[in-house]
Amino acid sequence: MLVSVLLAFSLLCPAVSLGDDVYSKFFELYSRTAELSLKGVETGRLEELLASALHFIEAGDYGRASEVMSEVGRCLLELESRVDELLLVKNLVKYGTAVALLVLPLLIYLLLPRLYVYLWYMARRSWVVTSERPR
Amino acid sequence: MNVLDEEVFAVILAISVVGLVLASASVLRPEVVEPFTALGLLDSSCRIGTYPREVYPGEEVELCVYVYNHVGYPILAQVRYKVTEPGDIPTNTTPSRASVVKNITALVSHKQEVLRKVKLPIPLELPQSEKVALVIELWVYDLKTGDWVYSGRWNHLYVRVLRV
Repeated sequence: MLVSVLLAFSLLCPAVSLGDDVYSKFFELYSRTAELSLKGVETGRLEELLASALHFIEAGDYGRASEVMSEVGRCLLELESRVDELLLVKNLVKYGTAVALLVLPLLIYLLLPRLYVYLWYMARRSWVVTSERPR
Repeated sequence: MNVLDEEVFAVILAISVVGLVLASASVLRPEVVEPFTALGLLDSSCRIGTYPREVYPGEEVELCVYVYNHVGYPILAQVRYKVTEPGDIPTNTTPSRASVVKNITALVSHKQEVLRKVKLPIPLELPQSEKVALVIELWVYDLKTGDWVYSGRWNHLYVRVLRV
Protein backbone atom coordinates (compact mmCIF):
# COMPACT_ATOMS: atom_id res chain seq x y z
CA MET A 1 0.00 0.00 0.00
CA LEU A 2 2.73 2.43 1.06
CA VAL A 3 4.82 1.51 -1.97
CA SER A 4 1.94 2.12 -4.33
CA VAL A 5 1.20 5.49 -2.69
CA LEU A 6 4.86 6.50 -3.03
CA LEU A 7 4.93 5.30 -6.63
CA ALA A 8 1.80 7.27 -7.48
CA PHE A 9 3.23 10.34 -5.72
CA SER A 10 6.54 10.09 -7.58
CA LEU A 11 4.70 9.72 -10.88
CA LEU A 12 2.35 12.62 -10.23
CA CYS A 13 4.80 15.10 -8.76
CA PRO A 14 6.99 15.65 -11.84
CA ALA A 15 3.87 16.17 -13.97
CA VAL A 16 2.49 18.76 -11.57
CA SER A 17 5.78 20.64 -11.27
CA LEU A 18 6.32 20.50 -15.04
CA GLY A 19 2.86 22.01 -15.60
CA ASP A 20 3.54 24.72 -13.03
CA ASP A 21 6.90 25.50 -14.64
CA VAL A 22 5.30 25.79 -18.06
CA TYR A 23 2.57 28.07 -16.71
CA SER A 24 5.01 30.32 -14.86
CA LYS A 25 7.20 30.52 -17.98
CA PHE A 26 4.12 31.37 -20.02
CA PHE A 27 3.09 34.14 -17.62
CA GLU A 28 6.62 35.57 -17.70
CA LEU A 29 6.70 35.59 -21.51
CA TYR A 30 3.22 37.08 -21.69
CA SER A 31 4.17 39.87 -19.25
CA ARG A 32 7.28 40.74 -21.26
CA THR A 33 5.26 40.75 -24.50
CA ALA A 34 2.56 42.97 -23.00
CA GLU A 35 5.21 45.38 -21.65
CA LEU A 36 6.69 45.68 -25.14
CA SER A 37 3.23 46.21 -26.63
CA LEU A 38 2.52 48.93 -24.05
CA LYS A 39 5.67 50.71 -25.17
CA GLY A 40 4.31 50.67 -28.72
CA VAL A 41 6.33 47.82 -30.22
CA GLU A 42 4.48 45.63 -32.72
CA THR A 43 4.04 42.24 -31.06
CA GLY A 44 1.37 40.59 -33.23
CA ARG A 45 3.53 37.60 -34.18
CA LEU A 46 4.50 36.99 -30.55
CA GLU A 47 0.85 37.11 -29.50
CA GLU A 48 -0.04 34.48 -32.10
CA LEU A 49 2.76 32.25 -30.83
CA LEU A 50 1.72 32.75 -27.21
CA ALA A 51 -1.89 31.94 -28.07
CA SER A 52 -0.80 28.67 -29.66
CA ALA A 53 1.44 27.93 -26.65
CA LEU A 54 -1.56 28.47 -24.37
CA HIS A 55 -3.58 26.12 -26.55
CA PHE A 56 -0.91 23.41 -26.17
CA ILE A 57 -0.67 23.99 -22.42
CA GLU A 58 -4.41 23.61 -21.98
CA ALA A 59 -4.30 20.44 -24.07
CA GLY A 60 -1.56 19.11 -21.76
CA ASP A 61 1.03 19.03 -24.55
CA TYR A 62 3.80 20.66 -22.52
CA GLY A 63 6.52 19.57 -24.97
CA ARG A 64 5.13 21.50 -27.91
CA ALA A 65 4.20 24.39 -25.63
CA SER A 66 7.83 24.60 -24.48
CA GLU A 67 9.05 24.56 -28.09
CA VAL A 68 6.75 27.45 -29.02
CA MET A 69 7.69 29.36 -25.88
CA SER A 70 11.39 28.93 -26.66
CA GLU A 71 10.76 30.62 -29.99
CA VAL A 72 8.82 33.39 -28.24
CA GLY A 73 11.74 33.82 -25.83
CA ARG A 74 14.21 34.17 -28.71
CA CYS A 75 12.01 36.73 -30.51
CA LEU A 76 11.51 38.65 -27.26
CA LEU A 77 15.26 38.86 -26.63
CA GLU A 78 15.78 40.26 -30.12
CA LEU A 79 12.94 42.77 -29.78
CA GLU A 80 14.01 43.86 -26.29
CA SER A 81 17.54 44.53 -27.54
CA ARG A 82 16.17 46.73 -30.35
CA VAL A 83 13.35 48.41 -28.43
CA ASP A 84 14.98 51.88 -28.34
CA GLU A 85 15.68 51.82 -32.04
CA LEU A 86 12.14 50.62 -32.87
CA LEU A 87 10.55 53.29 -30.69
CA LEU A 88 12.76 56.00 -32.21
CA VAL A 89 11.67 55.01 -35.73
CA LYS A 90 8.03 54.82 -34.67
CA ASN A 91 8.13 58.26 -33.04
CA LEU A 92 9.95 59.76 -36.01
CA VAL A 93 7.27 58.45 -38.38
CA LYS A 94 4.45 59.64 -36.09
CA TYR A 95 5.71 63.17 -35.45
CA GLY A 96 7.09 63.48 -38.99
CA THR A 97 3.63 62.72 -40.37
CA ALA A 98 2.05 65.31 -38.07
CA VAL A 99 4.58 67.97 -39.06
CA ALA A 100 4.13 67.15 -42.75
CA LEU A 101 0.37 67.54 -42.40
CA LEU A 102 0.74 70.87 -40.58
CA VAL A 103 3.13 72.19 -43.26
CA LEU A 104 0.71 71.35 -46.06
CA PRO A 105 -1.45 74.53 -45.68
CA LEU A 106 1.70 76.63 -46.16
CA LEU A 107 2.56 74.63 -49.26
CA ILE A 108 -0.99 75.10 -50.54
CA TYR A 109 -0.69 78.85 -49.94
CA LEU A 110 2.58 79.03 -51.87
CA LEU A 111 2.09 76.46 -54.59
CA LEU A 112 -1.63 76.42 -55.42
CA PRO A 113 -1.71 79.79 -57.27
CA ARG A 114 1.46 78.87 -59.17
CA LEU A 115 0.03 75.49 -60.10
CA TYR A 116 -3.23 77.07 -61.18
CA VAL A 117 -1.48 79.60 -63.36
CA TYR A 118 0.77 76.91 -64.82
CA LEU A 119 -2.24 74.72 -65.70
CA TRP A 120 -4.11 77.72 -67.04
CA TYR A 121 -1.30 78.50 -69.45
CA MET A 122 -0.72 74.86 -70.37
CA ALA A 123 -4.39 74.48 -71.26
CA ARG A 124 -4.13 77.47 -73.63
CA ARG A 125 -0.67 76.91 -75.07
CA SER A 126 -2.06 76.08 -78.52
CA TRP A 127 -3.96 79.28 -78.69
CA VAL A 128 -2.87 81.79 -81.25
CA VAL A 129 -2.97 85.38 -80.19
CA THR A 130 -3.81 87.79 -82.94
CA SER A 131 -4.56 91.41 -82.89
CA GLU A 132 -7.96 92.34 -84.17
CA ARG A 133 -7.94 95.16 -86.64
CA PRO A 134 -10.34 97.87 -85.61
CA ARG A 135 -13.18 98.39 -88.09
CA MET B 1 -14.35 79.41 -60.40
CA ASN B 2 -11.17 81.38 -60.35
CA VAL B 3 -8.80 80.01 -57.74
CA LEU B 4 -6.80 83.20 -57.88
CA ASP B 5 -9.78 85.18 -56.72
CA GLU B 6 -8.98 86.32 -53.17
CA GLU B 7 -12.16 85.06 -51.57
CA VAL B 8 -12.08 81.66 -53.29
CA PHE B 9 -8.44 81.21 -52.35
CA ALA B 10 -9.15 82.16 -48.74
CA VAL B 11 -11.93 79.57 -48.51
CA ILE B 12 -9.68 76.86 -49.99
CA LEU B 13 -6.96 77.76 -47.50
CA ALA B 14 -9.36 77.77 -44.55
CA ILE B 15 -10.74 74.33 -45.47
CA SER B 16 -7.25 72.89 -45.91
CA VAL B 17 -6.03 74.36 -42.59
CA VAL B 18 -8.97 72.95 -40.62
CA GLY B 19 -8.80 69.55 -42.34
CA LEU B 20 -5.07 69.14 -41.90
CA VAL B 21 -5.10 70.26 -38.26
CA LEU B 22 -7.76 67.63 -37.58
CA ALA B 23 -5.73 65.03 -39.49
CA SER B 24 -2.54 65.80 -37.56
CA ALA B 25 -4.47 65.72 -34.26
CA SER B 26 -5.75 62.25 -35.11
CA VAL B 27 -2.17 61.16 -35.83
CA LEU B 28 -0.91 62.53 -32.49
CA ARG B 29 -3.77 61.41 -30.24
CA PRO B 30 -3.22 58.30 -28.10
CA GLU B 31 -4.41 55.11 -29.72
CA VAL B 32 -6.65 54.17 -26.79
CA VAL B 33 -8.53 57.01 -25.13
CA GLU B 34 -10.94 54.93 -23.11
CA PRO B 35 -9.72 51.39 -22.46
CA PHE B 36 -12.33 48.70 -22.00
CA THR B 37 -13.00 45.00 -22.26
CA ALA B 38 -16.21 43.27 -23.18
CA LEU B 39 -17.69 39.90 -22.33
CA GLY B 40 -20.61 38.16 -23.96
CA LEU B 41 -22.52 34.94 -23.51
CA LEU B 42 -24.01 33.71 -26.78
CA ASP B 43 -25.95 30.65 -27.79
CA SER B 44 -24.46 27.49 -29.29
CA SER B 45 -24.39 29.12 -32.75
CA CYS B 46 -22.41 32.04 -31.30
CA ARG B 47 -25.35 34.38 -31.78
CA ILE B 48 -27.72 36.23 -29.52
CA GLY B 49 -30.50 33.72 -29.89
CA THR B 50 -32.05 30.80 -28.15
CA TYR B 51 -30.61 30.17 -24.74
CA PRO B 52 -31.45 27.09 -22.70
CA ARG B 53 -34.19 27.66 -20.12
CA GLU B 54 -34.13 24.32 -18.35
CA VAL B 55 -31.19 22.15 -17.40
CA TYR B 56 -30.62 18.80 -15.76
CA PRO B 57 -27.91 18.35 -13.14
CA GLY B 58 -24.99 16.58 -14.75
CA GLU B 59 -25.68 17.67 -18.32
CA GLU B 60 -23.46 19.97 -20.36
CA VAL B 61 -24.88 23.16 -21.84
CA GLU B 62 -23.30 24.27 -25.09
CA LEU B 63 -22.87 28.02 -25.30
CA CYS B 64 -20.44 30.48 -26.79
CA VAL B 65 -18.22 32.92 -24.91
CA TYR B 66 -17.18 36.23 -26.45
CA VAL B 67 -14.32 38.40 -25.18
CA TYR B 68 -13.22 41.68 -26.73
CA ASN B 69 -10.10 43.64 -25.81
CA HIS B 70 -9.65 47.39 -26.27
CA VAL B 71 -7.12 48.25 -23.59
CA GLY B 72 -4.12 48.98 -25.80
CA TYR B 73 -2.13 45.79 -25.22
CA PRO B 74 -2.79 42.04 -25.39
CA ILE B 75 -4.66 40.74 -22.37
CA LEU B 76 -4.64 37.32 -20.85
CA ALA B 77 -8.31 36.77 -20.18
CA GLN B 78 -9.83 34.08 -18.04
CA VAL B 79 -13.55 33.45 -18.15
CA ARG B 80 -14.63 31.77 -14.93
CA TYR B 81 -17.83 29.79 -15.04
CA LYS B 82 -19.85 29.45 -11.84
CA VAL B 83 -23.28 28.20 -10.95
CA THR B 84 -24.98 30.09 -8.18
CA GLU B 85 -28.26 31.13 -6.64
CA PRO B 86 -30.02 34.10 -8.24
CA GLY B 87 -29.19 36.24 -5.19
CA ASP B 88 -25.44 35.71 -5.51
CA ILE B 89 -24.69 37.06 -8.95
CA PRO B 90 -21.56 39.27 -9.29
CA THR B 91 -21.49 43.06 -9.22
CA ASN B 92 -19.28 45.58 -11.00
CA THR B 93 -16.77 45.34 -8.18
CA THR B 94 -17.14 41.92 -6.62
CA PRO B 95 -17.25 38.48 -8.21
CA SER B 96 -19.70 35.80 -7.20
CA ARG B 97 -18.82 33.85 -4.06
CA ALA B 98 -19.62 30.55 -5.76
CA SER B 99 -16.76 28.22 -6.59
CA VAL B 100 -15.40 28.03 -10.11
CA VAL B 101 -16.71 25.13 -12.16
CA LYS B 102 -14.69 25.75 -15.29
CA ASN B 103 -12.04 28.15 -16.58
CA ILE B 104 -11.62 29.30 -20.16
CA THR B 105 -8.33 31.11 -20.72
CA ALA B 106 -7.42 33.01 -23.88
CA LEU B 107 -4.89 35.55 -25.05
CA VAL B 108 -6.78 38.41 -26.69
CA SER B 109 -4.85 40.91 -28.77
CA HIS B 110 -5.68 44.60 -28.78
CA LYS B 111 -8.78 45.40 -30.88
CA GLN B 112 -9.40 41.69 -31.30
CA GLU B 113 -12.13 39.38 -30.11
CA VAL B 114 -12.22 35.74 -29.15
CA LEU B 115 -15.30 33.63 -29.76
CA ARG B 116 -15.16 30.19 -28.23
CA LYS B 117 -17.76 27.47 -28.12
CA VAL B 118 -17.79 25.91 -24.68
CA LYS B 119 -19.58 23.10 -22.95
CA LEU B 120 -20.56 24.30 -19.51
CA PRO B 121 -21.23 21.43 -17.13
CA ILE B 122 -24.18 21.66 -14.76
CA PRO B 123 -22.92 20.32 -11.43
CA LEU B 124 -24.76 17.53 -9.69
CA GLU B 125 -24.64 19.48 -6.43
CA LEU B 126 -26.75 22.59 -7.05
CA PRO B 127 -28.29 25.23 -4.83
CA GLN B 128 -31.71 24.18 -3.61
CA SER B 129 -33.53 27.00 -5.37
CA GLU B 130 -35.72 26.23 -8.35
CA LYS B 131 -33.79 28.65 -10.54
CA VAL B 132 -30.02 28.93 -10.72
CA ALA B 133 -27.79 31.44 -12.47
CA LEU B 134 -25.08 30.29 -14.86
CA VAL B 135 -22.50 33.01 -14.36
CA ILE B 136 -19.43 33.82 -16.40
CA GLU B 137 -16.96 36.37 -15.06
CA LEU B 138 -14.08 37.98 -16.90
CA TRP B 139 -10.80 37.93 -15.00
CA VAL B 140 -7.68 39.53 -16.43
CA TYR B 141 -4.06 38.73 -15.64
CA ASP B 142 -2.61 41.84 -14.00
CA LEU B 143 0.89 42.73 -15.19
CA LYS B 144 1.84 44.59 -12.01
CA THR B 145 0.74 42.09 -9.40
CA GLY B 146 1.19 38.97 -11.52
CA ASP B 147 -2.20 37.69 -10.46
CA TRP B 148 -5.72 37.36 -11.84
CA VAL B 149 -7.95 40.38 -11.22
CA TYR B 150 -11.73 40.55 -11.60
CA SER B 151 -12.51 42.99 -14.40
CA GLY B 152 -16.05 43.83 -13.26
CA ARG B 153 -17.57 42.27 -16.36
CA TRP B 154 -19.93 39.36 -16.04
CA ASN B 155 -22.91 37.73 -17.72
CA HIS B 156 -25.49 35.46 -16.24
CA LEU B 157 -28.22 33.23 -17.52
CA TYR B 158 -31.09 32.10 -15.32
CA VAL B 159 -32.17 28.52 -15.89
CA ARG B 160 -34.71 26.27 -14.22
CA VAL B 161 -33.32 23.11 -12.73
CA LEU B 162 -35.23 19.97 -13.57
CA ARG B 163 -34.77 17.39 -10.85
CA VAL B 164 -35.86 13.84 -11.43
